[in-house]
Amino acid sequence: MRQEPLTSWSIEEDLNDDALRAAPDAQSDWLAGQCFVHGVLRAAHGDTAASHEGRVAAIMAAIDRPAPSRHRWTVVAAAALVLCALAWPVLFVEQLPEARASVLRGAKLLDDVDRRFSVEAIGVSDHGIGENHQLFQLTARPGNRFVVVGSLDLGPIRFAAMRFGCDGEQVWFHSFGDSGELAEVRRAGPMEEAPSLLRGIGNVLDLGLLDVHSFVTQLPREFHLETRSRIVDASGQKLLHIEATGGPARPGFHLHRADLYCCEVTGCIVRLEVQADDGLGRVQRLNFVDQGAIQVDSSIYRRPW
Amino acid sequence: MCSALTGAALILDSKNLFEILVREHIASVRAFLLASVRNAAQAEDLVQEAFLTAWSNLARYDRSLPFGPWVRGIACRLLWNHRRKQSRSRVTFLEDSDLRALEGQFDRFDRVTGDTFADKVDALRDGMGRLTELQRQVIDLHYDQNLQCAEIAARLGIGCEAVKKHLQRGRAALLREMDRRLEEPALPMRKEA
Repeated sequence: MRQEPLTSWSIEEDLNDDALRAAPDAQSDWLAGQCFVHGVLRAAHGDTAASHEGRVAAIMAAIDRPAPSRHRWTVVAAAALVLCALAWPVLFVEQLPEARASVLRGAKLLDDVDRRFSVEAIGVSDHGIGENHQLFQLTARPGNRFVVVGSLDLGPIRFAAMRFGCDGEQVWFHSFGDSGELAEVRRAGPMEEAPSLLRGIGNVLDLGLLDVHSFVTQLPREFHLETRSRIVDASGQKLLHIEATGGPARPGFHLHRADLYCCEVTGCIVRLEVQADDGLGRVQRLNFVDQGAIQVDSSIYRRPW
Repeated sequence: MCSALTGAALILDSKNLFEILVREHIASVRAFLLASVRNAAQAEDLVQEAFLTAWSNLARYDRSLPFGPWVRGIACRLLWNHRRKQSRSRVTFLEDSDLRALEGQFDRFDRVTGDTFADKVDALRDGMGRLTELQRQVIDLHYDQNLQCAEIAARLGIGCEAVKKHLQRGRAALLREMDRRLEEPALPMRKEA
């Protein structure tokens, strides 16, 4: 399946020369280098996200297709002609990449790496007015390893600096008053006890969102995904907006919608917005903004005492 | 914690995993075939055939080794098969030793810093600044504007042979730039404060 007009343009125009072929063996490396740069530049030319997705989709579709019998090639050719005729208008409409594949690609890029996110948590009342607004810094690695740094605030009043994390087995929480007025709090325990350990600091952890990799990886299984649009952000970066809806209903906070913004060039999820409610009108919004991969020692995920 | 959203990572089925691999490596396999096959349409067909062959032989893939060189090796074998069926000159003008050297160049390209093929190409394109003005113009007209040598010669008012020389020297300079980058130590990542 060809995704773009093909030209007769080829490297042999300037390299398929008898004089070159008569050159000694050392010339082989030179010729390979020339062909290599040619192939890379040629492949990059006009390789849009849509054409890339088209090629991937064609391969995945071919995997599902049984191999046609060699003796029935005329039938296949006729079918191809009919298909081409029917698909003609579709081929000329810009198609957005498939949402599931984009999400899986984004999840793959989160794999085996420590990434940092800024997290904005907004608690919204049933009147739709922002009630509480907090900012955290999240560092996460697949396997329920994460650490969140922020503060315990009540409106504009900052009570204490805090951090909490998980090393994959144990959840810990540590808060300490900036001015020494508040007693230092240290709690730690197995992951099953996380809700009680972290009571009073919001529902962020209850949503299981802090292992961003695991969350994104499971989205295609639990949610309906749809590529909504292609947008360009303030820095000129092309992003795909993918909407995840229809998550399974659960007791307590129910995550019912997520919006992912994936960079078309790198495939990275640069922004993730999730929305949950408690069924009683309280809505929690969390906006994750990717700050990039970082290099940290794995000890940062362990309890600091 | 909400049990359905936490815990062990989802076990993807093999087709999902394969799709991720296709997505990651299709650009380099395509570049390899466009570099070695005479006819661009045949190169596109071989890209698809290479991945279908990889899929049907996935059980033989040693997962401790990188996927890119494995599937490029399949593409190379398919190319040899096509060459046996057709006349050699109709498929590629490269000899076996050239193809092996070309595979080596792509293996080295895998080591260039960058998450995606496009990132690595950007690194190569950064070398454009080291080309002469004429080399840059010729490369741009040939690869970005899709002009053939005779058309470039007419556009720039120089001879066709001169265009070919500028193309060759430009490509050689870009390759040197890639070599230089590979010799540099990897860029440091942001450190934890």
